[in-house]
Amino acid sequence: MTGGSAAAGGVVALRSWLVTQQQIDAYADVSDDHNPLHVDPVFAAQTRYGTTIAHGLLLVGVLSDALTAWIGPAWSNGGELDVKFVGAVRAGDTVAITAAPADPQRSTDGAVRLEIRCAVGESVALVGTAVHPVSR
Amino acid sequence: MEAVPFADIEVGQVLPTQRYEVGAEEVARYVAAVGGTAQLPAGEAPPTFATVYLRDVRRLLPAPPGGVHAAQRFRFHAPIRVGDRITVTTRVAETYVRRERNHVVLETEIARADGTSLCSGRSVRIWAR
Repeated sequence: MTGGSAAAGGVVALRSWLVTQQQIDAYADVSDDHNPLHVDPVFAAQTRYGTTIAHGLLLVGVLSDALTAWIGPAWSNGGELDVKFVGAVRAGDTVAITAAPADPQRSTDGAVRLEIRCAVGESVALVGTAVHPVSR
Repeated sequence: MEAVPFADIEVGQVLPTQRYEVGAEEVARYVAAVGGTAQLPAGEAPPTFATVYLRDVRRLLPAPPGGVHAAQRFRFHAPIRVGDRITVTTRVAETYVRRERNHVVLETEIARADGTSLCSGRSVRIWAR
């Protein structure tokens, strides 16, 4: 797991992690979402995904944790997350979360706006924005 | 659970408010499931913790199998803490058809029992036929 390393172009690598079936099963248990697409490899093999995929809200939970680690208390106190699920994350995939500061002219007073992306290699799974108040 | 057909979902429909007490054990299980490493003040749950309670939204408004979660928005107003008594209220905000797919937009408000707003969520789901 990595966190918060700045790179060229203002893109920050927030986290990279391996999604395991064990993690998907743990999320299925705590959220009581046992959709076979997530937890039944035999069923999932017959779908267009070919194998089990992670719950969208599992990705959001990891993403929010990475943002909490990076931003601090301002994330839980006024943060806004707006994401689209544009691709699947399969069990066994390694997901990279990146954040890039948005055009400053699009940030409103007292808030920081970030463009967020979760990707598996070149394949994008989630895109969106995170906005948080400036930490005092 | 019998799935609710798209045609039967009414815009403006409000699902019965659900009440919970935030439990330390459940918060710990959620943190473990998402591999949470962020430092939080003692007794504070991750801001996305309340998504675990959406299980009751799935029970109250069962979707046909094969649906997809298309988009999600959250506004985190204040931290959720272990021991908080909270209410979760979900409303059907919008339904529409795009690219021949049925979409249902649900808005969920999470508040402390005293009325303090904790989190607002907006979820776009593709409702399978």
